Amino acid sequence: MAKLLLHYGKDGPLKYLSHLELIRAFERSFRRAGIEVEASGGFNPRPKISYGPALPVGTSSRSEYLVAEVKSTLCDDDIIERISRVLPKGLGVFRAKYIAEKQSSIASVIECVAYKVEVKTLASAGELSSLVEILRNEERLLIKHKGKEKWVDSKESILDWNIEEAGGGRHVFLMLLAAGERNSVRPEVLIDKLNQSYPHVQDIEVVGIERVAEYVNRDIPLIDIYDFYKNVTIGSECEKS
Amino acid sequence: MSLWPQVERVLRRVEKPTRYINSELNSVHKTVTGEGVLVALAYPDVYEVGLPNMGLQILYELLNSREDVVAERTYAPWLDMEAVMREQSIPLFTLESHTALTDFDILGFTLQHELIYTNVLNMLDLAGLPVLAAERGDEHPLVIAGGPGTVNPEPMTPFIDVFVVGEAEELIFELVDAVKELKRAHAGREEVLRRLARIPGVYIPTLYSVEYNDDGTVAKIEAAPDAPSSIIRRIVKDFSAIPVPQRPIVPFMDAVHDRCSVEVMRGCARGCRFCQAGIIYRPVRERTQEQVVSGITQILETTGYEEISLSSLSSADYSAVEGTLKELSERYDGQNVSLSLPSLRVDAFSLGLVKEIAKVKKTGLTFAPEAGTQRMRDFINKNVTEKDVLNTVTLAFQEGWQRIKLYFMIGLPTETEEDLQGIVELSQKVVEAGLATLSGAAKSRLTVTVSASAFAPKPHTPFQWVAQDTLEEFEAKQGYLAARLKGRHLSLKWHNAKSSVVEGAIARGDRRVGDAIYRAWFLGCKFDAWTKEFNYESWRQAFADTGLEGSFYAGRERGFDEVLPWSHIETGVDAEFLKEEFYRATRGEKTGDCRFDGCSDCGVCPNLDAENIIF
Ligand code: SF4
Repeated sequence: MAKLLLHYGKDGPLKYLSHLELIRAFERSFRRAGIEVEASGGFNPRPKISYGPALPVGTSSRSEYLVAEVKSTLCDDDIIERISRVLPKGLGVFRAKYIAEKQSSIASVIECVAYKVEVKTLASAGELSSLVEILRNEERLLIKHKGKEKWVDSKESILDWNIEEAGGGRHVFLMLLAAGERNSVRPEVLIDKLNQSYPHVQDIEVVGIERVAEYVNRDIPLIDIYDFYKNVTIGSECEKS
Repeated sequence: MSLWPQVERVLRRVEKPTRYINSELNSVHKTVTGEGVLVALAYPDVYEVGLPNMGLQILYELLNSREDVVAERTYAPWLDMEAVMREQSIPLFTLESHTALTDFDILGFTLQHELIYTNVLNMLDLAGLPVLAAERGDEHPLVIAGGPGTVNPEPMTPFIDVFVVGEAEELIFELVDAVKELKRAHAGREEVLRRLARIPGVYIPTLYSVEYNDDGTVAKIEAAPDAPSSIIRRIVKDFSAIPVPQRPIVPFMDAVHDRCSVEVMRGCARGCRFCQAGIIYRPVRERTQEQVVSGITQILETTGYEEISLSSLSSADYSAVEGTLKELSERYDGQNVSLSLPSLRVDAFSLGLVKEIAKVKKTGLTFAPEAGTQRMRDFINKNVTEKDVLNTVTLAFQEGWQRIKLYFMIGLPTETEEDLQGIVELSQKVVEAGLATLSGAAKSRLTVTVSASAFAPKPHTPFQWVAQDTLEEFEAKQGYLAARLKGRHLSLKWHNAKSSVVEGAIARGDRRVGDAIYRAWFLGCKFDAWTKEFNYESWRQAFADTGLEGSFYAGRERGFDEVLPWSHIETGVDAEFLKEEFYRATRGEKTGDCRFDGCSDCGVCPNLDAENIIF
């Protein structure tokens, strides 16, 4: 038995998969790839695979991770090769490595997330950056999400927010936002906030959101989650298939 | 041209967007260059209901195996999606390339049951096509229909250009070849239809005229000079010669069936007299065990499925069922692959099979005695006794099952209070058997669910002449059962009798019933098979508005000499046999299973030049 960390991405139409649908797609892909995953006991055995925080439906990502307890001792490259061959178009595996047995779960260690958000608006780049500045200079922000409300500390939540003009009324926001227990916030919520707080400016329509990276801390230098998990060598040597 | 950008813009506004995306595993995304035929395969219900349909999956794989054909899929968008599509003027599209249906050469629907007919109309309309075949022209796709509904195609004739009656595995290529050739020749619609009528099994309704008597019954059905006088159902004579489809599409979302399902045989010769499937898929043709097992192995490799199902009308009757299950459970031992049999007989043999495959999980078991008294079971030729039922459930309780579902029908011909009382008593005896067998906590968990569905007589069965119960009769019978099937371990379930009455009227309808279907759709009927969406009042109004009486079709007994609206469609089973079976029913005589008890002369084998194939 070995723990395998897989770095994968999700884009195109498949960004509309729900978390449960994604899980099933991966379970079946492991089967097709011939990589045996340990199963939980009980009446309804489930493959032992744990995932990072659920990606909202409609968001694409090149920074998703899962940890699978596998029976195989195939080499990392082989695993990537085998899984890539059988994944549906729109899911892709970038990296894989074996990690130590006892480690904290993906969801519990993520402290901040980088997003790339494409928006469409009639507002100019200058207007947008001054709006963003106002928001970032507020002390606290009231965040409303799915009927719930919470206060977050603005500076702790929004770690970075760059704006790039993309032409044709389109802009790209590069955002670094807190995740996890304290002050976490999601990009679509902040954009809603811009729209609600400044009704006199032009509406900002989200065209697409992509999760770009996930880190285990919030300060420079940021530590990528993949690097945070130390790799181990399994057995004496991995098998080449 | 791909409509994906428009579709994507509205996806955030709808539930379950996965219904409208593509790239499911084993879906085929391809294009043809030069002269090819573009086929859109349509299931007239929502994605998760339509995707598992075996017939469409078979056609999809067959069609896409040809270089000169592209087959894509489309399903009925759910109400929320339909609303945004209409608001944003997005026409109905296929999933693979998000192309409008109007860009295809052929649009093929499957008619699985009567309550999806309005969805066919709605999908044509959403595609931007004229709903009425007569209003479509050369520039429109050819609208084709297949599936069990085609054994009485008449109610759908106003909307469909071409019906294919029977199994399409061989016919489909003849049809595609003809369409390709006609397309190259720029043939007009009329010429296309005349040419297709020459393919055996193809029914072109515009080539047939129907005359009616003053009392509303059919006087005669007349074929155009160059059209066949009757349409003979197509079958694949040797089913085992057809490879098991190897790349079924694996849905992302939870579909009604989401597993590796392999057809182990076609047809059923048990001869239940109420059952249409028991007639229209004859004779019995099996696949070999080797073929089934290797087919499953292939499918598991291409899909990663974790559940295997041996499908057929009565899988416990498959002669190699034991060996197949044994081989599969040995092969997949320890790999978390589960096995299931979708249809069970009420006997110890069937129970032994499920016992083997349900090693840990003992979820519910379903048995179908169908009727409550021996008299009625003999009448319908359901070869099961009360003793069989009680012995089997007792065995099941001994093995640890605690939830049993019993399936009955109400409204069978000649039914009396005694038969209803029989349902009550048999159900109570099953509860008693459970209480006597189970002990401790298991006893308190005992549940016997009684499902009583309202019978609708179907064309091409020995009961095709009988009157269906009226809504009032059904409701009174349901009330009778509800008042008596009470108790801690009993629960009663039934389908809406209102939808059975509508189903019954359409099932034995003639061409004029098409007007009522059109009117019902116009009044907003769709997704009629969904209890919440089914609108009985609109259906009533639809019949009334078109000057028709639902009861003329559903609740009227026909004379044996009446010209039935589907009499030009030949399933291979002789009308004489059906009549004889009806007489035997009234005399309480049973008819054997022709696989074991000798031929009962239904006519299928000589008429279709086929035979039962058992390995
Ligand atoms: S013709 Fe005879 S053997 Fe063939 S299906 Fe009918 S009853 Fe069975």
